[in-house]
Amino acid sequence: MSEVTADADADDASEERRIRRALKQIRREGWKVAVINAVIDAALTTLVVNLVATVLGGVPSLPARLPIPRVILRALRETAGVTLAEPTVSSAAVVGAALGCLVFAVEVALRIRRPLVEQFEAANPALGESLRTARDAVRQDRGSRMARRLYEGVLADLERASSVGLLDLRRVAVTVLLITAVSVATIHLAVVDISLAGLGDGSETGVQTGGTDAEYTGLQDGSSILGEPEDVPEGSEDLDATIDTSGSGSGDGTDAESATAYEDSGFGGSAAVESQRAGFTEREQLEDAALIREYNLRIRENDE
Amino acid sequence: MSEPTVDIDTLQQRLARVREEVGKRIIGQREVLEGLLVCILADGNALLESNPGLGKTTMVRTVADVTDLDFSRVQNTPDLMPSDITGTEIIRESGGEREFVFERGPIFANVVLADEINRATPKTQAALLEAMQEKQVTAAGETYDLPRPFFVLATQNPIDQEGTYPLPEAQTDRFLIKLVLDYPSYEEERDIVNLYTGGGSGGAAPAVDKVLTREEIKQIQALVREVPIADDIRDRAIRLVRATREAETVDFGASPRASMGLVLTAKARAFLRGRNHVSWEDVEAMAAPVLRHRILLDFRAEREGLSTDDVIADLVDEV
Repeated sequence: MSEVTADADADDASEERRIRRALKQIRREGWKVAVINAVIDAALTTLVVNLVATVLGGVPSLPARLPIPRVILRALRETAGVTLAEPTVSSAAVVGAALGCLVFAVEVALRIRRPLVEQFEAANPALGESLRTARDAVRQDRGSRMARRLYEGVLADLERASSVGLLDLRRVAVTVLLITAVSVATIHLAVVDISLAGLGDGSETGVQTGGTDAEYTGLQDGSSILGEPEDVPEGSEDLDATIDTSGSGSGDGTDAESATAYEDSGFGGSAAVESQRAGFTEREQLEDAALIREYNLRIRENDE
Repeated sequence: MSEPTVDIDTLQQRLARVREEVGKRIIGQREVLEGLLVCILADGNALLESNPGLGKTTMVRTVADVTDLDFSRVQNTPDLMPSDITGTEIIRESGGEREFVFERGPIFANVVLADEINRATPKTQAALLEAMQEKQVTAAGETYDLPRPFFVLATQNPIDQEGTYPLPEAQTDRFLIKLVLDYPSYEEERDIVNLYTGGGSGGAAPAVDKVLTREEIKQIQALVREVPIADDIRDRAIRLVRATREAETVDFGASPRASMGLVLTAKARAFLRGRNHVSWEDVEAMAAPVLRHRILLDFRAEREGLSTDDVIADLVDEV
């Protein structure tokens, strides 16, 4: 008789343990779902803030680029062997990341504020009452025959239940789509000029043109100033011009000698050079001529 | 020596068989039968209000038959004395000696049908209800335990109230539930007529099998109290009972005994339906039977034509 009682008690304890384990697992699933939701929302926030700040020309009261702390640089160098060419980071990205972290923390806190098991019950209404009852019974250490039977039933139901219901798949899908769209827009903005992206005048933003910012005095990326290579439009006026082939270009003889020598070399044309319509670049690109000139001067200096 | 413990599944299956067997004799009235069984499983007593000729005696007798319980019937009249119900001491001669022996009354049965309880005098009513509540009878200084399980079904006739002694509120509170037996539908009445006027049975009630022993009923009664109930459902049930004391349309609300009764009957219903836990649906279903005889409506409710069941339904929706 005592053996039977002992067996029943052991079974009872085992069922209770299993219920406790199941509840723990449900809470873990709840945490996972909260973190998943918070991560995607934080990512979206980071990207959106970064994009908006970039479009607006930076974060007010912050420089365009912020230095990366030496500690981080050293850690990168020592752990990953990475040495950054430019030890700064965009202030827009920093503010975006900070707001993303804030969104993550707040959302996780809000999502776990309601008991996770209750959230699971709400997601699985068929299981809600029995699971809630089992949870209360376990908390009160009820080990009756009926309670044990309830535990068995709930455990069997839990095997069939899923925590996917906790995750609002539609919301996740929409957020992921938004993340993708904002990411594409960010990449587009980084690669193409804002003016080309139709978001504003690049010469005004300074940052987008890669170096007309008054504070920046170092070397700048020439291609970002001149823009992508493009076909220039033809002029509308035809001008005939004849260039006499005279002189060899050697520099030692007279002009007449040089011209004769050039003709004799076979490279000279027998006829006048046919003119073509002159090309020109757009106005805003020409405005950067001073900068190009400065580039050339510096390159020459370096060569010397 | 007690019978070996029976598996819970088996007990629940036998309860389903009880309903099937009773259904052989009683057409329709499923809710009343369920209420009756709930009351037995919750170890309570029921007040049944119905017009004459609706088969309440047949129903109770059939339940007693299929559950292997002793059945007795008391027809209450104004001249009925308490001792006519509980029993009395009589002088008995045996071997030339005279001695007082206690002659047990009809209340010493497992299932007692107290017909038209409101026709008995208040003194007799009190004796019956006290025995029902205490599960024991005291006569000439001796206390006698009533058989277990013990179940009283008292009936009241809603019409022809002249010369009756309506049960006071304090007495009606002792009944766990109040069931209302209504007229059957046309189809049900046709089936009843066919069943009891057909040539096959010769007018006798169809035979039923005994499917549940009294020991098993006692086991079920113990198990019913163990049925787990979620804290929030229990709290909501208590709020429902308390709401009867605060509702504008209710003049006299239900007592804490009603809270206990509501939770217990919800557990019994859950067990009867083969569940391992109480659902809010059980509480909702048992709210009217448990509360309808425990509350008195305000004149405003009567003016608006609201019945007790209407008010209870509104309160269920509110909590």
